Amino acid sequence: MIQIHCPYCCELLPEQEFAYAGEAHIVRPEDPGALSDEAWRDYLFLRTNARGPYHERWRHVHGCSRFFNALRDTVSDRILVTYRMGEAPPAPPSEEGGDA
Amino acid sequence: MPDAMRPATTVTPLPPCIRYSIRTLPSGLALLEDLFGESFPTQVGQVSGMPDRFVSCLGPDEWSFVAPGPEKSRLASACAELPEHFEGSITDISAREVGYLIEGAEAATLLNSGCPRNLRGMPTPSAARTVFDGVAIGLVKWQDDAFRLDVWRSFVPHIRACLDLALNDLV
Ligand SMILES: [Zn+2]
Repeated sequence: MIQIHCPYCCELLPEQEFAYAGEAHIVRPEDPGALSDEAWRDYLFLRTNARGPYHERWRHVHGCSRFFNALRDTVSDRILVTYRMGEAPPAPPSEEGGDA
Repeated sequence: MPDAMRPATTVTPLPPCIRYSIRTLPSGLALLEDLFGESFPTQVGQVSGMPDRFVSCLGPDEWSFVAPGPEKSRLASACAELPEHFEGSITDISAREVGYLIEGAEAATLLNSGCPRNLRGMPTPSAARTVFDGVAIGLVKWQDDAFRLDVWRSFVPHIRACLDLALNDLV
């Protein structure tokens, strides 16, 4: 079982309480009507799908019910850091280090 | 000698009670504390009060208030008196859930049959919204051997069946 640190509960809690919610920091266009079909498609569907550290949205759905962001390594499935909504995304760790 | 015969752990339905789901900004807390006569903790997981009347902090801006059933009309009229400048919401969800008292030396083990949280390590007292076999539940740990579980009515048959099954395994 993976345990995830909720930045609102300030506690390490079991993954069953959490829901994945896609890539983080995707900004909704100010005026969707002004976008070309291609640009709107890209906003809706195209994701980085990184191999390695990846900024993701998660939700503590069976808990405080807050959305928050996480930096997860998609290779090791380790969550490197979690942070509150509105906080600046931490940079992915360098090759050698950055153990959480 | 009859110790082995006695069920170490019991699951008891609680009588109907008042449940309010409360959302507010920090500015609204003083008003609510006056209104309900309980302190409102501000750290997620904290609980204040007694087992039959308490406030638990479920999220950064979310609280659950539980009170004995006979307070219903007094509380309803008190809420109606809230001043205009109160920023928040109080929703009566009394009938939405059913409460259980889970008591006994193996109470945490019983709940852990469906709940992945570290219930033995959970502080006393403390509260949480968590999950039991896929269903959202409210949990208050009053003592190491006494938990309160609240679950939506429609999930009661499922939760009861799971708990009864786990009770058999404890014997
Ligand atoms: Zn949380």
